[in-house]
Amino acid sequence: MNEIALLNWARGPGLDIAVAVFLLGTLWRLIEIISLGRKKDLSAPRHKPGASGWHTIARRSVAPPGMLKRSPISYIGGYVFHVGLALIVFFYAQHIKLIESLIGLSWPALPSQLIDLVTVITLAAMVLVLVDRINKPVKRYLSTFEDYFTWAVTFLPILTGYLAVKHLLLPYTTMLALHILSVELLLVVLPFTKLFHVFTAFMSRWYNGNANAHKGVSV
Amino acid sequence: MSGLADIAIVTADALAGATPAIDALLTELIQHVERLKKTGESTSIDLRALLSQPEIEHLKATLGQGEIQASLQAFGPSSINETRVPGVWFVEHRNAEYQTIAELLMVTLCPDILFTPVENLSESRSLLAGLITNNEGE
Amino acid sequence: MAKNITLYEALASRGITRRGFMKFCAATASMMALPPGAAAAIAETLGKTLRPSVIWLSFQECTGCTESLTRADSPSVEQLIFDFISLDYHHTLQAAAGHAAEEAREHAMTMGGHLVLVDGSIPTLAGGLHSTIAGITNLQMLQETVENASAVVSIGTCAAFGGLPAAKPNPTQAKSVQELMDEGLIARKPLINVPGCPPIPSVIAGVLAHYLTFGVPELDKLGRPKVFFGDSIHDRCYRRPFYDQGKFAKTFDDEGARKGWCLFELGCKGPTTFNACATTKWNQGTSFPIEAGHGCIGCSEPSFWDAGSFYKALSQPTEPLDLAAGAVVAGAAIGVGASIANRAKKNAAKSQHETATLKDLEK
Repeated sequence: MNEIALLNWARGPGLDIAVAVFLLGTLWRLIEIISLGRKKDLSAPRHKPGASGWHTIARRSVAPPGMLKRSPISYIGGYVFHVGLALIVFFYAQHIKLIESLIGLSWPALPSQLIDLVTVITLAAMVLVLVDRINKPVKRYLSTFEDYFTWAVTFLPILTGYLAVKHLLLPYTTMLALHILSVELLLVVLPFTKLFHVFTAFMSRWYNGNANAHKGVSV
Repeated sequence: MSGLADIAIVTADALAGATPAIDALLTELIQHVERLKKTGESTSIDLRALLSQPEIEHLKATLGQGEIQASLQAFGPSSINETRVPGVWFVEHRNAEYQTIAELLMVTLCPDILFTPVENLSESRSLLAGLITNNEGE
Repeated sequence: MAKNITLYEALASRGITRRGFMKFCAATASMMALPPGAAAAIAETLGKTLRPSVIWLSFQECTGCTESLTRADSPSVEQLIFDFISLDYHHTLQAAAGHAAEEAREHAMTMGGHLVLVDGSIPTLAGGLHSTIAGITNLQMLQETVENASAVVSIGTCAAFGGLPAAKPNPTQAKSVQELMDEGLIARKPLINVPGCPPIPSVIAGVLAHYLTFGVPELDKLGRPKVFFGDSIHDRCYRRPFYDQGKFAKTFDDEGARKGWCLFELGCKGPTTFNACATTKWNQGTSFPIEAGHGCIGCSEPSFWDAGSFYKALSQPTEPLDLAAGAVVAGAAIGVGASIANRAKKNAAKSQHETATLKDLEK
């Protein structure tokens, strides 16, 4: 198979399969998780201002007092790469083109120079977060194969995308094919790994906040 | 539409002027001239492989016109002009339809194509002989 | 024209002088993208080389490649190259027809050492009977013509990569010359691919000139001469600065299009296409498609017909996502099934639940 055939496969059948697995897995897991339900709490609810599911969603989006100093890389690095990732995925002109061709929606893109800068920062933040995970004994102890694997499948699309746009390392055709294939890998594994937090992060925050609020605790 | 100017397409002309490619070429020329001086070795550069048409025009204007302007009629017209830089020649070959088929920059004392081909000298003798009016015996 | 004369003699017989020949060699060097210094070597070689016999075979094709060559205004360098070779067989151009034509081919073939030019792909389904000439299939004709040939040049994307006839669903199982060689269906000979739909005329002539003077040129992985197919259209595009600056035309009539910005988002395949259009240009060096405001369609790449719409950006999918709807239904069904199973498990656990008494706790 030559590069152009690989690219055609990635842009055609490959994408079709990856999106299908992604949709199937996402719906399956979402329906299953939501339908699990929770036992009804029969105790009388206590009310405390600032204790609710929504409060928890907001509160957990900022670092608890003192934690920013103790673990700056986790918080700052984590924030930077999440925001960066969102900007790259949703505000790069070529990506909007793709979304438009899939669902018909489009919105203004950010200037590509800005996206370039964001990409470099995002890559740097991800590398930093990984180094931190390996260097800190506790973090290293807590890390499993899945943590490294999900890091890699998130990192690769950004890296290959940047190299493709900048025409570095490999011919553009090959690099673009690798970029699309790496995104397809991400789509396929997303529903079945911890990357599913894309859908469940805020849901579980709300659930925990709600359950604690019932007990009169604001977390 | 009243004319070509109304067609709102910006062509490569918009990018003309001194470009990094032209500067690089001029720097290269210095080395070729040095070599010509030292070893007598000539160099030719195919401009169309290196520069865009507006860049070639710009370079041509930059190098200017020197003392020699030669024209050649063989397989279409050609112009062989020394630029105002001694030893740097601008050669443009056209076909019979007047289309440019090669644009060269030569660093040489004299472009080879100006020399009479040795192969043609055998013709010369018979041509000259034919030109002599027969006034023997007078 | 007699066969045992050199190119110089052939040109001289047309009234072209020695200086004209030198000029021709300079233009040929330029056309072959060789340094001008090579002109002397070309002059020396072409001054000695005898006219080679060339057989041009046309299979599943549209004659666009031949058109591309013959539309060049005379007397171009391209045509002089073609005057030089002894084109002994070409369906479309030759005066002879029927048996006389086939005899010419057979005669040229029996001598051996000829050059075979192929345009069009070769059908292989049902023994290749979807395309026949003079009672034999294209495959048979290619087999016997290539057998004693010195080299084969695939002219155009169909011969080089299958092209349009091989596009999905490829009803005739059309194959390229390269594929037939790889599968052992025809003899393996030095092969040069000159793709393009059509190829640039001066590139065809340049490749032939290179073959006649210096032999088979250096080729890339897809068998294309590197001198012409070494750079992508994008890398040599005069609009490249706009790509680097992130300035893209969004429609064919917007501000960006008028300002000549990059056509990537309008489907330009320049970044994945390797050809000489941006440097050699078309119509005697007038322009190339991007200069006329239309993106590159990628015609010199394999399976370019199957790369989706010409107007889809490279970041867009080539075909609709057919599996998505089914996946949604299947995902929902599995999810519902799993939740029913989970609920059943929960209920089963509940039903086995025994009430603990004080006595149990004291145990």
